[in-house]
Amino acid sequence: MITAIIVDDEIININNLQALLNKHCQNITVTGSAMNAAAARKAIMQLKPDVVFLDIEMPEENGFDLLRSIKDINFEVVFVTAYDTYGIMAVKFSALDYLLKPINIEELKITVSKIEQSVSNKNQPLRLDNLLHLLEQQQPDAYQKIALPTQKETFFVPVKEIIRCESSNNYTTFFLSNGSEHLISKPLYEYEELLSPYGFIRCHQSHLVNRMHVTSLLNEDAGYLIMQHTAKKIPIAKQRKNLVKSLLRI
Amino acid sequence: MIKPIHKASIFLILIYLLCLQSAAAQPSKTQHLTHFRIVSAGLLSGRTEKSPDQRQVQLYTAGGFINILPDSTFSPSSSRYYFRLYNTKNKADSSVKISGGKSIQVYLNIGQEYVITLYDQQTDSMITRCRIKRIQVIPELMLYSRQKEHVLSTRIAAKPDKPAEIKVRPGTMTTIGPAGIPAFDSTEIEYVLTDLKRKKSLNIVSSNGFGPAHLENNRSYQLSFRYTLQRETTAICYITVQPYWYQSPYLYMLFSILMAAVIFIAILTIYKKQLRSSKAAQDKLEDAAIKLQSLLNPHFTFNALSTIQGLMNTGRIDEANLYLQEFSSLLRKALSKSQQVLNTLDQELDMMRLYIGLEALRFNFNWQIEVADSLHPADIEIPTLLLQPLIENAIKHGVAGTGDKGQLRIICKAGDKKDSLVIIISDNGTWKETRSETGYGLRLTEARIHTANKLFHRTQSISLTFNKQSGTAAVLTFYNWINQ
Repeated sequence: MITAIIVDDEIININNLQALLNKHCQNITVTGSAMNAAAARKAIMQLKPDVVFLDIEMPEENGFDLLRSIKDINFEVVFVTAYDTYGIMAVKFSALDYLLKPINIEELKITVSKIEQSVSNKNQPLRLDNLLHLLEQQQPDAYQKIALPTQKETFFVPVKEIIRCESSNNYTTFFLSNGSEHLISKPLYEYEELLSPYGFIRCHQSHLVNRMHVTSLLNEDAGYLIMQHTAKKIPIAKQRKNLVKSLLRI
Repeated sequence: MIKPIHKASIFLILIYLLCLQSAAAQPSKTQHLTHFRIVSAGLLSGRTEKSPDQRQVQLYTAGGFINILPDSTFSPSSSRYYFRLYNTKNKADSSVKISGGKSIQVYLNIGQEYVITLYDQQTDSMITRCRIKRIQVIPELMLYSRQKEHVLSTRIAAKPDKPAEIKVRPGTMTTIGPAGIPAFDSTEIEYVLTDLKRKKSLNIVSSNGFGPAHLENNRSYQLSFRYTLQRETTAICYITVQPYWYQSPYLYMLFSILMAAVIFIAILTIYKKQLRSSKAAQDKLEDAAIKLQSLLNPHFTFNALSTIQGLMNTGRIDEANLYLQEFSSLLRKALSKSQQVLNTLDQELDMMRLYIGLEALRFNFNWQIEVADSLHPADIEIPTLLLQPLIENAIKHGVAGTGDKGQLRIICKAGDKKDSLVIIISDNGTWKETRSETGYGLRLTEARIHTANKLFHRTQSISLTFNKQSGTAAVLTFYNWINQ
């Protein structure tokens, strides 16, 4: 049995998540709740939960502030938010779990089952470190690290070391500048959303390239991009050619 | 009886004869020499030079043909004398035997000199000799342009290889005639005047010129002319009749530029007007978008939906229904009013009641809206959804964390200044300035106030100030607002 506490500044949301967990996730017990960061710290100290469902948006101290104030995080964190552009991007970037309000029951079930199988708690401290580090920086920076969770381990890769990403169905392969490749079980469009602020260009349905590693544009067919450290020609989709050119500032 | 067709041909013959006569009418001049005389229309008698013994004579002529007429010493049977004609240029030599009484005609080339020598046939000795040179001549003309009493004369100084050009003022009558060189006085001149625009020509043969003629303004003519007796040499003069000032090409250019400028300015004005109206329309759309964005921002919308989910999942179905109704009612009002710049105060307050009610359900604070009795909220208009971001800030940063101790008050009253309206949004919260979103909502509101103030042309205006004593109060003052 997994124990959980819910941290949210609105009682209705606490009750809602509790009701949903009771109904849909039998292996989890909500042992407590808190409506602000101070109460949450106390509850975590006392109840030592396995999981904390943490609302990001709270008055005074928000969810991230709470995490910063706790030294040894030995519980799983699932972020819960209605809408938070920058915060949720950082959460995704660090490959941490999150839920959006109103809660999607299917997503809730998947998240809880992942926690049950202890899949995502590997490297969680590193991921949280990465998250808090990202939140301290206002601007996207090529030295910032993205968490790439594979079956066995999670790689934290500086954005500048990603040469390109290639899609195959719902998987994405990352090609890094040190020659290694990582297969991640997330669709390419999710990474497009995360990496486009860092100058990544979706030049083709199955290709996302790092602008800083583009060495040349080949004018064959609809065009190809040649990347550093690789001989492979990355095709440019016909309808994206102008967009690619404008992003490359040619 | 003469048939009509013969009439015409006879008429033509008559004209031909007349022409011949006119050609023949050229006064011939005669130079007497020993035993013969030279007769030619173009003979320049005044320039004749004689050697002291009168045996050598130098003659000049303009015409091509000369007639050598032996005198009575040449009896019909006599063959005592003969002539030799020698061309000094090509050294051609020809002997011409003259039998008694007959004249001979010789053609002379222009610019060439000939020697005519009369020899005694028996002794082959020269009796008399004359040199004759055909000189090139062009009529020298004067052009007189008369405008009322004023006559302007211009000499047409054309050379065979160099046409002259003359400009004539508009609106004058033009007369052209010989300039009066004594030697060629009353010599017949052939003129061809061609209208260069219409390609029409007028042929004139006259010894004393032609005119007065009216030449068209702003048109060019070509006048070619020659002496009848030296048709080989034609001179050309271009006569340009200047345009009236209103026909001047400069004026046309100026006029065209002016027209172009006027059209350009007109187009520019229309374009600017359109641009301005489209800019105004765009501003309105943007304003509408800002209004909707600020009310139905993702925080509010998704939190509201989350609240409804919470009510549903905790079995509070009636409340969930009520909340859903209020949320959709607010959504509907906001969407329908968002295109309006202004909305009546009572409708605005209704919308805000719905909005605050929804937020109060989440955060459980107390709230009230007070409207002074002196105001008529149905008659007062304020910018649509102007209050919303201020109320949102008061809730989010003021009363969201205080639970049931939270107090939100909205007071609408008349201001101290005449016709002014004051709306105060106050809370008893602590306002920890943590997030930039406060600034964003405030910036939007200030931008909207700025736009509205521009719209009212300074007759009316809105100002926003903040009071921080026990909690925070946002004070909106609308000047010259009531009874407008």
